[in-house]
Amino acid sequence: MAIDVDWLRGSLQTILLQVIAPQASYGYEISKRLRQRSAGLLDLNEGSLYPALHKLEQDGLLTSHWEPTPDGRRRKYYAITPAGLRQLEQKREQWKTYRTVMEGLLGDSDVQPA
Amino acid sequence: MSSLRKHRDLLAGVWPTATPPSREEIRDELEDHLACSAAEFAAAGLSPAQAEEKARAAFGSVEAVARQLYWLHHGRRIMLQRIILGGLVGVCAILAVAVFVTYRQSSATAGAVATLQTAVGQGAQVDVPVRIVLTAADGTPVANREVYLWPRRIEEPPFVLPHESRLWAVQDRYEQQTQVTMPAAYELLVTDADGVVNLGRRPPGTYTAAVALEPELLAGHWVDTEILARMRHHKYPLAPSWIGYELRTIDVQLGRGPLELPFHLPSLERTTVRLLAGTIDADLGNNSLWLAIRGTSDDTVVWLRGFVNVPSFTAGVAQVDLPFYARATLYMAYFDWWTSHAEGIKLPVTFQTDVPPPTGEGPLEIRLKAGIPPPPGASPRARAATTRPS
Repeated sequence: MAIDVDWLRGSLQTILLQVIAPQASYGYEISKRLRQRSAGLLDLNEGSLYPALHKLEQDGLLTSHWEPTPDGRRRKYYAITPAGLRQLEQKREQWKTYRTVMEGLLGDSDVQPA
Repeated sequence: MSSLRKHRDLLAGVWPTATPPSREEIRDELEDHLACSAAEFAAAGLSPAQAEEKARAAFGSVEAVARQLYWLHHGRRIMLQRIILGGLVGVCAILAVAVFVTYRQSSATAGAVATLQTAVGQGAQVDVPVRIVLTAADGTPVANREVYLWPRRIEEPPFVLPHESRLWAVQDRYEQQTQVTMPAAYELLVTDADGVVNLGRRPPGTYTAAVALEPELLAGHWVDTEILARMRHHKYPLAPSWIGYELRTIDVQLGRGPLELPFHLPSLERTTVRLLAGTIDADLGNNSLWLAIRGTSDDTVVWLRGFVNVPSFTAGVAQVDLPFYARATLYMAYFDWWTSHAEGIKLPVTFQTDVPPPTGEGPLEIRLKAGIPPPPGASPRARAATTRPS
């Protein structure tokens, strides 16, 4: 089942922080990791990844640097900043609370259709 | 987003602390993504062309993403630049318009007045030698009185510009001779410090004005003038109930031949003067054209009785009361609202009443009485201005 795009839009920046937090990465690799970690459920348009990355960088939650590639191009790597780590931790806590609440509300499967 | 953060972001847009990515950097980043994606598709067995096509399809519109990224980083700066540039353009435009209007108004006023003066046969300036002898009613010379010469223009009243009018003063002397240069259309007005004695429009010559002084005035008190002189001179009662007029309309056609149009009117008649479309081609700019009617009589103070603001030189109407004057004179003036400059000329159109003109026998008498002393250090001009007739 595909994920509701509105949910994804609201959580994309947190997801990106989570993906980048362990290791600096570049756009395509981030996109690939998202697909792998979501088992293909996150069917994200690759182009829509970059505005979110740049916004995180503009907000100071990510930092970036350029490195040359073996075939002569240059590649932009993103790494999480201390502010980004704090933000990620806050979002994690919020998510836990949210999940608890939602499980309490939606976890009951005894509801029968009328 | 908190208010503090909003302000911080706004300032960051004006003075960015980090260098935003350029178009080349954005393009390189996206191209790297496409290259990586295409390489993976190629490794899966697709041809290079197919791999690139598939990578672009998975990515979406590269141009749209590039534009979005560029605007994300540079949009605020671009908007601020546009706003500032627009503001500067606006300020420059306002200044340019102000300069243009000021220049145009002055030149338009001067041009219009010159054109009109030529059209009605009034042109260059004249020199008027004036010799003043101040005497009391019994002919005794009077000293210690200030006397002013006022080339009287249409500005006063209602356009009172006394600082332009004062020419010269006499003090500690009872006789003085000078020469005044003024436009031919002007009248020469001779006043003491607070009274009005009008010599009228005079050809070059020697004229005598007499003032009557009461003894207590010589003690140094300032005086307030009660313009009873003209009433006494013309033997008309000073009463507000004299008005018993009927309406009458006179049409004045400008620019078509001589303008000597004597109108014989019954006494105490309210008259409407209509200034019809003229043939004078004058650029008025945004000036106002005023039509003014002034009642006058021999050697007596003048009085503007009515005026009308004519927005364009097409038609205008002024209504005037002719209470006790022997004659009324039509004036036309331009008033520049931008520079507050007024310029007027006297049109040779007079309205003659049936009342016999005043004889003017004997010296003109001005009765002076003690009034409120002027403030210490007040200039004679200022003092005179406070006692000008309304």
